[in-house]
Amino acid sequence: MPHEPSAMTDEELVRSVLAGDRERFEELVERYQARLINYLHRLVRDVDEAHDLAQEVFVRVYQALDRFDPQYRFSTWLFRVAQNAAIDVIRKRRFRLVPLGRTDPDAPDGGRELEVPDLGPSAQDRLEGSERDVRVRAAIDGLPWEYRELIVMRHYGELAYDEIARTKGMPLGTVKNKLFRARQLLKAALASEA
Amino acid sequence: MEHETFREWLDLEVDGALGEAEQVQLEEHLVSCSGCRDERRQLALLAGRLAASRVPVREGFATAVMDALEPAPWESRLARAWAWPLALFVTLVAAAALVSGAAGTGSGAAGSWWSALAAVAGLFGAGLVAGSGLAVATWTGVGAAVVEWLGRSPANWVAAGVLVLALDLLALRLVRSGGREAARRPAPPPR
Repeated sequence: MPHEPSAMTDEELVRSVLAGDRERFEELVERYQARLINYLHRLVRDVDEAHDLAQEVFVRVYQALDRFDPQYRFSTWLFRVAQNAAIDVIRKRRFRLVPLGRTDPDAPDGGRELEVPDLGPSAQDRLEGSERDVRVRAAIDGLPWEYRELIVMRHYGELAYDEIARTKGMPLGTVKNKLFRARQLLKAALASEA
Repeated sequence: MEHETFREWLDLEVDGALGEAEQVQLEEHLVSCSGCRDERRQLALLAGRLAASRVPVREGFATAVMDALEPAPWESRLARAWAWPLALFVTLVAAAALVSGAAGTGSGAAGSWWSALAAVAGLFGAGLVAGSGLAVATWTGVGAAVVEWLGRSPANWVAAGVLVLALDLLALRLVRSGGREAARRPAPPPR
């Protein structure tokens, strides 16, 4: 039977799960699901894939829960696992090819379909997003990766500055500075489209 | 104060990361700076647009995650760790119940269970006394053997001294290398 949400810290919940109270893990999932899915959604650009990946991340974290080091925050660990999972997906996607449905009749093999890498958002994603959201997404996607990652961590993962610093392994001042620059670029990008 | 500093503070303010003292100075500056007031408005607008573009979590997501969890390796270790003590305890209780039942106290079920528990407690007590006695006897025996060995020759005293010194140095080295290893460890396990 699921527990009522408690005032326990993440670390206390982890200890409780490790002591055999498996249902406490659901509380951790509920605590982080929205932030994690939104974080992953902005990285992999697909709602379904973000949900699947978030589930995989939670499962992976559960499997390795005994290796969690309580001197770090649970959120830092969780988002680091998520970041690695998202990078794996993006890397694999670079090699995923989709047919264009166009043939080359002059080709010696009778005109096989030409293929190009699929890098854009899915059709369903485009349908789900409002025009405003599409503009925001385009502005975020237009950012250099190092800025985009931090904006996504801060605004979609809702990580605090120090959590971002720990997850990325960079000094706190650098995080503040990069976020400042990233927001300036975002503002400019959205203003130019308006 | 540099104008650029106030711009950076505005950026921290939108994240709720600006200190109280800086916030006071910023408010004072904003009274007289229309450019910064406009910047603050734009930043708030940007934060609002980013927040509005979040996607909702699909219903039943947490339940789906819980259903997808397979037994973790550490769970089986946990079960194994408790299996033997539990099995021993159950066996002892069963044995005590049998013994007390065979003794035929004849005072009903409650009396029988009380006797069973008393028997288990007695068994544990006896085990504890026997274990302590064995440990004391063992250490006494080891001590006597060492004293006897040392008494055979002065060279044995020298050898024992060297051995103790070497063990101390080894322990010191292990402690120090453990500390260095912990300091080098950069982050928690990523996956």
